[in-house]
Formats: sequence, C-alpha cells, structure tokens
Amino acid sequence: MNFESSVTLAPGAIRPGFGVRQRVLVLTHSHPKITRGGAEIAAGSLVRALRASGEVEAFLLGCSSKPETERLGLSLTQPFAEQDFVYQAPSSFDHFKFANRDAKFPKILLDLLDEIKPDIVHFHHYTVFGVEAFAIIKRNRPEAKIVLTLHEFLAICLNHGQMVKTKSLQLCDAESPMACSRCFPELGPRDFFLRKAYIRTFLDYVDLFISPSQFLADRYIEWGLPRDKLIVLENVPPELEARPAPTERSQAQVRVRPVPSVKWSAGRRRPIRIGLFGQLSPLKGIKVLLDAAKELAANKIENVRIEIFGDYSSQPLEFQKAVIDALGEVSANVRFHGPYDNSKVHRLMRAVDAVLVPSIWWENSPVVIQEALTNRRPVICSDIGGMAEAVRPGLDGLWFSVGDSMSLAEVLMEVSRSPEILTSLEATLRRPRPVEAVARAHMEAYRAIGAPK
Amino acid sequence: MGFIAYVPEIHHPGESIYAEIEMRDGRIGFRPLQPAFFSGLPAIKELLGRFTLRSDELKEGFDNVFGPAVETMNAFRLLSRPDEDVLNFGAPIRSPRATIVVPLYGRVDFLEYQLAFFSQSLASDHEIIYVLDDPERRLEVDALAAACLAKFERPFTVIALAHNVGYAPANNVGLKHARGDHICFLNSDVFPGDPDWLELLIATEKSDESVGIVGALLNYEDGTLQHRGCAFERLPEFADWVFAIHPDKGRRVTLPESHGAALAVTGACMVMTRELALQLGGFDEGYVIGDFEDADLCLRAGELGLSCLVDYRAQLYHLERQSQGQSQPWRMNLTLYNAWRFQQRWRDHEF
Repeated sequence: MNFESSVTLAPGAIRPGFGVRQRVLVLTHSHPKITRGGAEIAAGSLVRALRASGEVEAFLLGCSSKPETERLGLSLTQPFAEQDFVYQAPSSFDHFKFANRDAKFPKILLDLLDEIKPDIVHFHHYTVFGVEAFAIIKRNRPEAKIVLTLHEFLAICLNHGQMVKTKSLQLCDAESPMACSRCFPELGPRDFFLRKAYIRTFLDYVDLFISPSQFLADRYIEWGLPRDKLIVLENVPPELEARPAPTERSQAQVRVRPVPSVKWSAGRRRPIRIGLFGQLSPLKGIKVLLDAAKELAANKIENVRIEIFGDYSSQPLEFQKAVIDALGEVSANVRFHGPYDNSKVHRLMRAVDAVLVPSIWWENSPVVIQEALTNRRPVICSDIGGMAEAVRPGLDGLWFSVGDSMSLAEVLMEVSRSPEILTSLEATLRRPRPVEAVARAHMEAYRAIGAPK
Repeated sequence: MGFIAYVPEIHHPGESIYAEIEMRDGRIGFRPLQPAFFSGLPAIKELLGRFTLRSDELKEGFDNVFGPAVETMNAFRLLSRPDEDVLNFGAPIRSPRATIVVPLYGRVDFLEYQLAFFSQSLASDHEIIYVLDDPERRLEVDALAAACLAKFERPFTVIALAHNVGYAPANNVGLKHARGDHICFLNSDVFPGDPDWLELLIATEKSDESVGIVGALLNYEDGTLQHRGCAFERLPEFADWVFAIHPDKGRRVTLPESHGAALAVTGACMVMTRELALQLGGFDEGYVIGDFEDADLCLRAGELGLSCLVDYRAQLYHLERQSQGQSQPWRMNLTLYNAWRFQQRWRDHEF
C-alpha cells in the first residue's frame, strides 16, 4: 500500500475553500476495470461523479477473482490507481448466503478503513465481500456509516436475484422457504429459512439502503427491510460517450447534445427502427421479441425493423442455438448487429426510433431505459416491475403484456400504422436527472446519516 | 433369508467357529462361520439392517437376540475412547456463567449459522463448545472455524474427536470440558428465535430448587410447534412399549407467556446446572447414536426429586432433518433397540 497516500489523506483534512470533505469508500463485488456488470459500472460512475463534485474524497474497493490480478501472497492491491483498490477474492466464498470464508478478509478490510478513515462506506452489492462485512465495520469503526445500494432481489431470491421460477421462468411474487425449495429441490426449506436469517442478521448493521426503484424498495420492505432506513435514488448513470475531454471538464459534466426528432412525412419509405440493447439472455425476453417479429412478418408488416445490439456468447449453448435458429427464420425484419462497445451506446440509440425492453423478469431499474430517455428515445417495454415504473405509458413510451409476443406484435403493428405515435411522445419524455444531480443526492443522503456537511 | 442368533461368550482364540444346525426331523448340518470383520457402529448398522420384526416379535427378538448383541457391541466400542483435540478459537472465556455444548456431525456448516446468530445476541460470558464427532470433516471445520472467529470475533472451542462416537458420548466429552455453572446441551440444528433464550432458561432453572432440567419452546421454520415438552405414550404398533412423544408437534398452538411442567424435555435444547449434569453422569451412552437418552436423563433427574420445566418464552427454531434417512431399516431398528433399552431401564417406572 502506498505510504505517502496515507499521509496526504489524513482524517478530517481541511481543504481550502471546501470545509471538511466527505470521505467515501465505495465497495463493489467486482471492479469496473475488470468486468462490466451493472453494479460495478454504477459503483465506478458514483466514484467518478463524487470526485467531480470537488467536495468528496472518494475511494473504490473492487474485487477480482481473475488470475491476472493475482499477486503472490497478497489479497489487496492497487493495479489501477492510487485511490482504487482490488481485493483478490478466494474461491471459498459461500454464494448461497453470501458468507465470506476468507479468515484474512476482516483484517484486510479494517486495515484499509484505518488508512482511509471513511465517513461513509457505500456498498454496491455485498457478494464476494460477504454480508458479515457490515458487522465487522460496525463493531470496529462505529463512526463510519454503512450505505448499501440494492441490486436485483439478490438477498431475497437464490435464482440470481431475479424472482423468476427456475424451471418455468414464471414470475415469482414472494419468497418462502417452501417455495424457494421447490425452485431448488436439492435444498430444503430449512436451508432457505437459515439463508434469510443469516443475511437479515447482518443487513441489520446497514444505516441506509438505497434502492434504484420504488418497485425494488417495496419488495425489500415486504421481505423485511425497515422502511425508515430505505430511500429510492437512481444510480449515477454510466459514463457518457467517450470523446476527447475538452480541457478541464470532467466526464461527469459532458452532456448529450439535444437530438433532433425524426419526422415521418407521408409516403416516406424509411422503416421504423426498434432497437434492443444489452445481453441477450432468456430473461431479457429475446424470444418474445423474435416471436413478435415473426408475427409481423406473417402480417406482411414491412415498415418495422428490429435492430438487435447485444451479445449472446455468454449464454448457455442451448439458448444460443435457439437464438441463432430463431434469427435465421425472421431475417427479413430483424437485424442482428452483435456486441457493441458501451461507449457507443448513445450513438447507436440515436440511430433508432424507439428502444425495446421486453424482459420477462421484473428488472430493477434498467440502465438501458435511462440511456434511452437521455437520448430522447421512447421506450417500448413489458408492463411490470422496474420497467413499468420507469416508463409512463403514453408519456415515456408504450407497454405490452409481459412475455406476450402477440401483445408486443400488436403494439408494433399500431406503431407501423401510425409512426407519429413515437415522435409525439418526444414532447412528454421524462428527462433523467443529470449525473451531477444524482451525485449530489447521494452526498445529501450521506449527510443525512451523519457524514460531514 | 437366513438365521440370526445371539451366542454370548464363544470367543476361543485360535479355534475356528462353526454353527451346528439340527432340524426337527433329526437331520444335522454344520456350517463354518467367518470371524467378525466389522466392529463398532458399522457392525451394529450391519446387524440392524438385516431384519424386520412384527410387533408381536419385538419383545422376544430384542430380549433374546438383538438387545444383548447390540448392547455388547456398543459397550465394546465405547471401551476405546477417541483422542480429543481441544482447539480454542479466541481466548477462552474466564469463569463462564454457562457452557453451550453442541455435537457436530454431517452439516458442519450449521456452526457458521449458529455462531453468526450467537455473535449478535448471546452474552459474552457464556462459553461455546463444539464437539466435532465427524473426523472426516476436520479440515473443513478448521478453516470454517478460523473464518468464523475472524468475522464474528466471538471466542469458541472445537473439540475434535479422532473417531465418531455418537450423540451421548459426544455430549459427555463436551460436559467434561465445560466450565460454566450451567450447561446447555444444544443440537447443531437449533437456532435462536428469542435473543434472550439462554438467560430465560438459566433464570427459570434458578427460580425453584425443585427444578432440575429446563427445556425451551422449539418451532419449525414455518412457525409450527416442534417441542413444548415431552409426554410418554405406549405405542401398540411397537409392542406397547413406552415412547417419548412431542405433543402438538407440527401444530400452531398458543401457550402462556410463562413456563409449564413436562415429564421430560428434548435434548435438542436443555439447561441444567453443571453440577447436576455431572452428578447424573451425563447422558447414558448405552443408547446408540441418539434416541431416548434425553428422556432417560430427565427421568434420572426425577429420581433425585428434580422436575422438568419448559420455558415457553425461550423460543428457538429446531430445523429437524426431514425423515428420508429414517426410512432405512437399520435406522428404524436402532430406534427400536434404544426403545427396548429404555423399557429395560424404566421397567418399574409408572408412566
């Protein structure tokens, strides 16, 4: 660890013109420079935005299980930057109840906290660190407040936190030891009872829960989190399109330029482009989309084109094959563009007329909806959960019945008949809060639980 | 098909043994017998896995054949005591008020759950002793225990046994090492519901000199009752033998916010003074693996004029295993052996 940095980062340091700066350590289960999942991207964006405010000393602790970040005999390294740490996680982690079995971890964490002396320890996810980390921090550094941003229904549902039944992919409304054991027959109801008790025991130490959507918050309150410790606050949106940074302006201040609307004049033959962005996994509803496309083709609808930007290479082979077969059948009105670099997402979105989110699980607070609205594109989405909350029908976009390809086909046929439905939405689209405002809301939340003003 | 016979004292070193079988019509046959190649629990399991008795055969079968045979094999197995490795995780607690003794077998991960919950609510002057009765899990438990100490910062002791001995002997090893004024025998699949459970049990034990053993209110994970004290009942399907039963098990019942008398309490969670436990000599190790020894202990306390109580306020969860394992014939016959032994011991007791 850098000795010099621990000197320059003395606790309560008064910076000219700033008063006492908040000291925030953001922890995430992976590291945004190692993997590109939602939680680590959100954590990285938060750190960047906090730093850009000029009022926060922000540190990042991510995890890695990749051999390329291993250093012999070390568990904590700084491969990327001075205020940026990586915990090399051993494979002994118990993913069932998020229990860390690394006997060295508590000391690693406490030594780092001693060095950084944060006012706020903000977790994006608790897996890999283990839920016990909350108790370890509270017992040893009671002055540090613990914030946890919830991602998916991870504590509630063993099926990757999706609250979808394992075999049937049916939506699940509530956990129970018996219901969970039906999804995982090799585990009994008592295992799920203990899992919940274990996780709940340690979530008790969290001072503030942040949920990116009301829907997610309600599910967690129903599960047992205290209402008075939970706020709804969106994640800091991901880094905007990479472009040469003009002089001193930070990434967080870069804005997307206003996008001119697209008008369909009578007789114009340009197809209506409907874009799907993201991982092509079964729960993202790709099958619903392809079936709807087939229905459009059967109805000789030729002015709607589905543009798919995404990757299915990390999906189970069987599913990949099903996707490839389905793509082959509907090739006329579906274009598959393959994986894209996330820094290009804004440019790609501005080239479509609407963004489609056909997920067959609840979704949390999909980043893709935030991105679509930022680019002034209406969203066509399933009518449930985090999607329905983020998209007001008739104002931000259109809904169809979740999992129902006929319902989606009907919406698309309606759009085909009257493309102006999409352009007319532009006047009412919600404007996502800019990065600075979301960062400021986080800083206010930190103050509300005791961080320096 | 075949024969099972109990023939005591046939061991003549250097001589081979054979069975001489005389039929009713006078024919006689000889059959050489192999010397025993199993001993201890494997031999007991092997024997108990080989027969099924009707209710009307139980008494004769166990009185003449299986009872004395298992009793002898069990006594022989207990002659060799396992080495005990005492592993202190964290500094031992100075003059503990109570010692919790937990035998650990199979699901060793329950240790992590229990310690997590204890680290939240259990007073720091109680001692926790795990008796690992599953030598093959030693490495796994060492690593898990080290991680638990690091993250929960709650000292505890693991006593690792060099070979598997079963429920009563494992608890008795824990008792031997215990230093608390009170002892709490606890199963590894029992988890606190009320955070004050142990304080309540100790206070109730102290409340009246005529109280010997205090049990807890145990629930299943769905909130239905598992234990509110034991009763005794003769079961006609098992030769009218007396069994300890759990009234209202699996039901939803409302109990007073106090305590109630019981004829016996389950060993899954019971509290008494260490002095009493030692005076009783711990659990009777003649019961094999784990059945009836808790009821037996309560009845022996009763012989000293001490009664059992259940504190309904001390609520815990008992996540008793599902019954798949019970359907194996040896397991059923083992229960019947322990039941037989209980009938012998309490032949003259009025139930």
